Amino acid sequence: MNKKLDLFAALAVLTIISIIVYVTARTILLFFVEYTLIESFFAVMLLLGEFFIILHTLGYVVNIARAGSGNKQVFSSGPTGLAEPSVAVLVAARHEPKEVLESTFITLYGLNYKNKTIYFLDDSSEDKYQKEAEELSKTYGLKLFRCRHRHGAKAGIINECLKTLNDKYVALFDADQNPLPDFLKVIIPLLEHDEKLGFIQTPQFYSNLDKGPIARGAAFQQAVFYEYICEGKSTGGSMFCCGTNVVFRRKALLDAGGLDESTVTEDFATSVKLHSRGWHSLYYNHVYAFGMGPESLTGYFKQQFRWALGTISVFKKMIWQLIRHPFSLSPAQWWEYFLSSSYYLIGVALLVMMLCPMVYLLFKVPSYFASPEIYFLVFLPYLILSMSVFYFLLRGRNYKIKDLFLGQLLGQITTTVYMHAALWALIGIRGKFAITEKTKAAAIPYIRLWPQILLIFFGFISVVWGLNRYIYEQEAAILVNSFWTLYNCLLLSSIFYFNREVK
Amino acid sequence: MQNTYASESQSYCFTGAFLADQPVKKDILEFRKDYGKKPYLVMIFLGWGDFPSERTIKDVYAEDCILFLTWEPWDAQRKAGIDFNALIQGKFDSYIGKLAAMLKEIDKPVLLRFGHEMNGDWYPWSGAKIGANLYIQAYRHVKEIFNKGKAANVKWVFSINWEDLPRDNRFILYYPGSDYVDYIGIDGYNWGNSKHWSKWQSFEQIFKARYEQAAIIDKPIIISEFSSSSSGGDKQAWIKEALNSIKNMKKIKAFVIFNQDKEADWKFSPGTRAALELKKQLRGNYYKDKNTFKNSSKAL
Repeated sequence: MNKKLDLFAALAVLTIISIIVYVTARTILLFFVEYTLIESFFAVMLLLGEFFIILHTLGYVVNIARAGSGNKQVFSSGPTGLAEPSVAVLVAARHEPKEVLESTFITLYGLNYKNKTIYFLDDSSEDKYQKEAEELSKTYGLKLFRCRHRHGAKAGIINECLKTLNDKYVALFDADQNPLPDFLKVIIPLLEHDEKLGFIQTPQFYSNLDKGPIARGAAFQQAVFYEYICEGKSTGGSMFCCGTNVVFRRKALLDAGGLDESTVTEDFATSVKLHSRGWHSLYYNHVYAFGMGPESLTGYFKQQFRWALGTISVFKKMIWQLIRHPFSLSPAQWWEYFLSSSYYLIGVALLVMMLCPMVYLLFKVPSYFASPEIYFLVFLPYLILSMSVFYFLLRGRNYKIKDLFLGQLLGQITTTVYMHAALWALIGIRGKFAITEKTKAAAIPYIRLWPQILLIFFGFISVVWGLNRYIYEQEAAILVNSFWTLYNCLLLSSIFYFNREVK
Repeated sequence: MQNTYASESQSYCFTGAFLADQPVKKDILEFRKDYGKKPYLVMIFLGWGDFPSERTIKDVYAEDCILFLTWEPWDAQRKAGIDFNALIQGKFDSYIGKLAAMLKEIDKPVLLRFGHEMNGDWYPWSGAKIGANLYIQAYRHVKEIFNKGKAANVKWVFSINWEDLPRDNRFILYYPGSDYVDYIGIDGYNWGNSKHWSKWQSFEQIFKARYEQAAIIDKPIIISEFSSSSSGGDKQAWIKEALNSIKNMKKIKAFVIFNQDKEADWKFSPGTRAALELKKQLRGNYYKDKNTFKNSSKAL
């Protein structure tokens, strides 16, 4: 194990050094080369894109180092066997299929914890669903809660219900989560142990990973996030709430003024408030709930769009908060929140990185790796090092490269969806609350995949054009750019593999 | 919390088999003769109201093996389920207590799986018939009587089918919780083309996804029933792939091979290529037929 750790440390240090060398070289180059206006535009965009990705890589490496490599964390909890403090378990739903809800309530009912009350927050407006909710409440002894005036979607009804509670703790579950019987028995003693803990978040696990490539890819994306990123954030005191499989101290939630109703990712925005008010959070990295991930490309895109839209709009707010109240969070928390809330801008960064080599090949605008020396000496080592750190560490926790790659592919074809979300968020359009779509769905008509298909089309044209140029110009940079364009095209073309009907 | 990754360096998997309805010494030794190792876990099936035979218990432990009881809450003759509501109200407590006392008496590890394959729809205790809530209550009730009888040598196997049938009948709905479970068991068979609804499937096709799901829970895993038919494919290649796959699924700590022809030709008939392959794969240190661990609670 120690040898492995040393190897990791060496890799990490090398990665960071190569990053610094690369960024410095790139920036200096920018100032010394004489560019036209359009060339400078692409060069600056590219540099920003690279900066963005490098910052996130750095954040990732730091989180991994914090999380420790190999073994999962272990916590001490308060003495067990004392009287159980009361817990309100809240499930908010709007127009969910009865089977989905039924499974959830079966498992909540089976929670091995006596002093709990299960609340069904029914936000449905259609008769059929309201009737089902009443039936379910009878069968499983649930307290049915409804709001007279709907506001703020999911966060709204939870806040209304919160006003009526006086339990010490509030557990939140999405309507499609099936907790294991031990959930509260393990989490509550941890909260009892530390008065400053505002909430404890546990992972989400997509148990339908055998239901096709999307479900599998999404499951492993989740795994990457919950396995290392969250552990690292938790160690740094900036683990945010993910909206489900979480237990709040009610006092803390009230102190923050309830859940934030202004975004579609109310969980994330609320965490910022809690941390600003001095509450701590903890991520407990043991799966205590089985959930379901999207199985169709439509479902996946919708989920990612919603997450991206919500987080990027919080990113806007964070910038305001940083300007107005720079001391409301610690520097370490600011750094982590900057990373968390800007993550989905990756769509913009990746798009720039896809477009630049194409622009070079087609129009000779020299932005991307126009000097192959720098590319081979610095960028390539950086790329190889960071990729090996990523795969090496997740292998340490028994993940297979094939599965992780599936998750990466899925991320690549979602680039344009993230781009779309970023635009909406910057303009200030708000999305609607809908839980992730899982079941049957038709494939997306190709006409609606025009952004991806156009990228692939122009990508191939650029490669062909570039290779023709190479015959006459014999410029190494052309080969490098052609290679990257081809690589991006191949990744993108996996969309034809993922986009299929789900039965 | 148990650390799921710590024990990886000492990887191993115990052998096990279903040999006969009332297995005796001869069956255990015959298994060793045919496949090179003893079955460390010897499985028997027990109907409601019944007790394991004294002879089987004596022979199994005399051979350094352990008993793996499949306890079926039904009248084994008539295949009729018991009244589960009566069970949770205590109607069968004295029978359950007697069995607990009998197993405690053995004073060595005993594996017990109560109401297996509940995530299917064929048994009267399956969720499809009685619902997950009643199942969990029944399971917990039975286990609590064992707790009262201090039968701590009995290890509880929560044993599921490899596939949820129907699809929404997910096994996780039946999981009674870590206080009630020591091992997760998974059953699965390759029926080949022996049935109109079946097709040839490798071990990995049957078990991989279920393993990935079950491995999330902090419990070691036992393949609690498995075998392959020979119709529609190569049984020798099948068992080779199976025993190699198990080595890659580190949380699997034991398997039980169903070595009797029943609904299909599950048995690895001595002398066949498939039987020789099984013997070949069991060689070496990974598959153990005897508990050599000092800390016996860790390894069954």
